[in-house]
Amino acid sequence: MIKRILTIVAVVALVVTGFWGYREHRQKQALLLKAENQYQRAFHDLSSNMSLLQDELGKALAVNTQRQLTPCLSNVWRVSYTTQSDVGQLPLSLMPFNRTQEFLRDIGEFSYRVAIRDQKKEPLSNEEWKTLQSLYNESKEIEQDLQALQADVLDQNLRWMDAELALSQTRKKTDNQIVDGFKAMEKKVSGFPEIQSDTLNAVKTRMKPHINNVSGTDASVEEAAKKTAAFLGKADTTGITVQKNGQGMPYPAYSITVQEPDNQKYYLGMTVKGGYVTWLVNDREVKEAAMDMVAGQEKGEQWLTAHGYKDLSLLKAEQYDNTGIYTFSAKQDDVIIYPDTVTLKVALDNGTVTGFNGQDYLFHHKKRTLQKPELTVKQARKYVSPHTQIQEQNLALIENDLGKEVLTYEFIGTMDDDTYKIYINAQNGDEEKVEKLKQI
Amino acid sequence: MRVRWSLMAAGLSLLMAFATLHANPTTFEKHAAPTFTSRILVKGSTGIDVRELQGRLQLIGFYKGKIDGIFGWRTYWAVRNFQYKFGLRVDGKVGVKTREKLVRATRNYNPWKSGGTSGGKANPTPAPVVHSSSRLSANDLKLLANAVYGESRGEPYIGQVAVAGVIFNRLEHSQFPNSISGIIFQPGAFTAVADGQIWLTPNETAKKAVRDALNGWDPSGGAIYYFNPETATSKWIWSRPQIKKIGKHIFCR
Repeated sequence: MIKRILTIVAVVALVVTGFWGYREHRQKQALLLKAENQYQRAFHDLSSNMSLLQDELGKALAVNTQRQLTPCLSNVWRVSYTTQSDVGQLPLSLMPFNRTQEFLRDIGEFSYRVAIRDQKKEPLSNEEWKTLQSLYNESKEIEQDLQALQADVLDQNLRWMDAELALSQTRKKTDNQIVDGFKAMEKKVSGFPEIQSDTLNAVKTRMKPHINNVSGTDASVEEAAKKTAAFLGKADTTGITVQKNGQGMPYPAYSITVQEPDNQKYYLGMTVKGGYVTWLVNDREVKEAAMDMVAGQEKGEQWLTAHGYKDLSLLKAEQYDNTGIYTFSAKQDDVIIYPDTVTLKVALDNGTVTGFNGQDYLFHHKKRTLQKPELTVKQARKYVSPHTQIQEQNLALIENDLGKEVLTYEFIGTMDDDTYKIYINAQNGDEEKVEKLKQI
Repeated sequence: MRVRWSLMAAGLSLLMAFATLHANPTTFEKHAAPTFTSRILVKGSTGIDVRELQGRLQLIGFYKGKIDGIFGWRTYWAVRNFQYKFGLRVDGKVGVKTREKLVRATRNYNPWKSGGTSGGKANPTPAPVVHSSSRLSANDLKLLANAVYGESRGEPYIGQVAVAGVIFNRLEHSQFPNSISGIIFQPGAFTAVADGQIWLTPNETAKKAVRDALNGWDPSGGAIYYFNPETATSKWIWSRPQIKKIGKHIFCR
């Protein structure tokens, strides 16, 4: 009897487990399929957008009128943006695919720059037409490769999940058609010559730190430690560890850690050339605020003067918990010099500086010969939209998109409930930049 | 209608005259405004006294925004307007003079009533704030804090700032998607996304690290990749030029 019951229980248990297992399996399959479909969609999107991109580049070559060129190039820019987003949805970050991504971004940046400028003043030059042509030919190659791969994926039911698995297992040598296809594409793109364009080069170098603007001789490790001690106002270099950064750093620099006796730690960055402190972080617990933002600002200004920063004016201040974050900018002849900024964190409990970031100041600051503005404030004001109510105005030197410094009138204005900063070129009235000031 | 307006204006001016003549600001402050402290408020200040400032400005129609305790641009313009109308020096700072004038002008201010939840709430710390022109939203920063926490919560603070810095560097870099969400959810880019640790609730340290990175601190030295040498599966990542090691992570380009 008992045996019989046990058998029945066992059989029921087996059936239940089997059923459960089957259901789990089906659910897993469904999820895998969902993930696979997402990848497939991104991949097929990429392929069709790539041919669209190529078509638009072709059209841009074919059109003769400026009126047609601008929409064509704007399309190239828009489509290249979408292809980048498609690439970002594929599991390609585990393999080298950066040249292709860069190529796509360059196409977009180049066509954007040409599209937005005034075609009447500055029409497409011969060189730029040639650049467009080589971009057209190169993107054709990518497009063809992609389409061949797409055909394979469709004919042979290749799955992106397998590609992802193959990519994550680098210890074993695995073969995967999709991965191989993309690797071949990357190799091909790496062989393309760099896009020759002055604007593109300007955009790229703007991003790089201008170490050439820094003067001085190289500081050794010992000198770096001494400079750190001086910077922090310490008597000697005990507790200071200096380490040189590796090859990947855009400019030679030291990473410095300072262990204080009271268990506080300072972290600093320093250029090797000249031995300038680029940034400082002291991560300590800040207690209840004992001073307001104005007192904190005074403390910050004292600190800046003590560290040799002169002629700075406050750009903005923010309070975050018990810490004030102040951004200062250089001021020369009543012109705000936006590229030369210094950011300070002042702990509002005792007024000490817990953070410093002087990288921008270091790489940009120099004595400039400022031109006299051609336009008066009144004239410049006419270039601002009449819908904006102007509240404040200054002269400001800003860096435009291409990394060129331009003298502008800065108008701070409101429209409805929002505040905007509008920069009008002080020489020719061009609207250089408009910023909406958000509270996030 | 016009009659009513003029009546109201007359009433208001009478009230103001009365207030300026008779009110003693110091006793008044003691009585109704325990939060209006003596500190000077400027653009960027936060706190319960900023709430009161906004509440008072709202009462007399200078401020129409939310009472959130954050001295932002809208509060700034409201203060400047108030200073202009009341013949004070227009500098947008709330010091002793502006405060006295404001307190006199808003005798009816009741911190427990105005602005809905403003006065009585037990939680005086306002949300963190950045007045920036950047294209990021507050939710981008939340997502960033999640990613930083999921990726590097066991790391030293400076390492967490560096991880946030890497994400910001990717935003500027040509090889990566053009948005914070695109970068974070790029398949295979972050292990915390793959194993779900990104959905842990981030702590204050992670949020602070994101904020520091947003303000321009980049301890990674311009890195766009980092990896943990003990667990890294990709061989390719070792071929990248390295910058430095912070905690367990090696940062590279």
